[in-house]
Amino acid sequence: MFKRIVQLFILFIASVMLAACSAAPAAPPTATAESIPTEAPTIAPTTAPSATQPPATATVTTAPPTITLAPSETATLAPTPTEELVDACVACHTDKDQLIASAKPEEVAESESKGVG
Amino acid sequence: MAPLEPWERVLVNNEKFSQTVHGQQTCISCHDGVQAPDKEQAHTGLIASPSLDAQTVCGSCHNPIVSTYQTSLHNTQAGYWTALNTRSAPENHEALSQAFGNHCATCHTTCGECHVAQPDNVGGGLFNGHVFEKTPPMTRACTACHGSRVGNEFLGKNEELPGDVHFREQRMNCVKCHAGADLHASGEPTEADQSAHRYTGAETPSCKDCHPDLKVESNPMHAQHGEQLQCQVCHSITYTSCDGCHVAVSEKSGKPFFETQATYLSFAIGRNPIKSAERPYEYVLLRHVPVSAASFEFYGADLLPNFNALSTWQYATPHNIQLKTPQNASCGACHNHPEYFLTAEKVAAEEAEANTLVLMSKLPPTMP
Repeated sequence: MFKRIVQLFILFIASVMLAACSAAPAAPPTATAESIPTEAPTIAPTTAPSATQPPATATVTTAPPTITLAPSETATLAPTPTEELVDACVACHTDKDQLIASAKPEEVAESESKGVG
Repeated sequence: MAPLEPWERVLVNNEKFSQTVHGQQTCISCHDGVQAPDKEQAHTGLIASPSLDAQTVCGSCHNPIVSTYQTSLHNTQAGYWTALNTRSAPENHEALSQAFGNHCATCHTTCGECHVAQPDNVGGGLFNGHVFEKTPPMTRACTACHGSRVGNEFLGKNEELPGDVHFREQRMNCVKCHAGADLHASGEPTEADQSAHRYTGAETPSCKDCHPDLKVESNPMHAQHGEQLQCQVCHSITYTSCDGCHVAVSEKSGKPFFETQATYLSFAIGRNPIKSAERPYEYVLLRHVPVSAASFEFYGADLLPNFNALSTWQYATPHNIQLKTPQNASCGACHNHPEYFLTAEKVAAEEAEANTLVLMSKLPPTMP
């Protein structure tokens, strides 16, 4: 009976360990040059460094390649301008035909200046 | 430079711009306006040139440069006012301020007018699809404004005259000599006020910055003349002078305009009107500036009662440097050519008194 209990206990421990192994997160993707923001200003403009924050350059240079913070910051900050800005302003000002069509006729006033300025 | 079409002036290359630091900002964060598909609505409250408020818009990231730039001649145009002030009297300042605002201050340059778009003064228009240029493009920014004299000399656009050797042989652009710190102004104004005019204070740039070894021992001309001559006296060629600029406001269009009576090529060696520790030269090149006693008569009678307080032949630094020039071919090539020197008979009678200090009282001795 005792032997049966020991076997059951061993089985239980083994199953717990197996479960633990299968639940472990996959190794984070190796950070590459493409996935780490190279331009600090994507973060810097709105968050002035404070005494409690490490300098931006320190974060970049000392961050281990597996750090998960950097990609998540990129994901939240970088797309914002392109997604929100590619709207009325950019849509018009990148469209030559639309700019031509919407341009007001300019009054070309002939300069009355004479000679070299 | 031909003006750009209206659409060209505002066409954004978002593929490039969005990849830049400035492209991470929203349009309205700098330009205000409204996000709307309708043009009129979108442009409500639009600020076309955000850097007119440089301290707020640019200074948040570029504060040191923006702060010192407030004293830069590119910003203040103080050189014009220094000359007006010297030639006028306090009771004329109000009228001259109006003239200054109409005719001189239009050359005021903002951050954006060097780093994003052509200056408004030459029609405006984005350089490169709104991409900010750390180094302003020479012909679309620098010589767009400084074209009729410096630009033409430097680029060799004066007929039959070669361009400056630094451009011709080395393709050097303006900022190779005129560093950002000089263009933006680099610090606190001194007691003499560095902003007074472009030749106040240290000689920046100086030829010696790049040519410290003048080979005094092996070059007899350098040995003989030393710092008695400004470098340009021997190493510049013919350059542009102007006469008789008059300004007014058009009755027809209400716009300010000017009329210059003459523009011509000149070469005049005279006495240094601004001799100082930084510019100790006895003899320098002089360029005739187009001021006359009646230049501002549209704004009032006799607004320059002290016209003679400054010479009309002014210290000049022509931008057409050459190693070999007609006047440095030999001693006689200069000394025996009185036409190179500014003497009394070459100065208009009404300007004689103003130029007393810069005229050559006697010509150099003739040489073999």
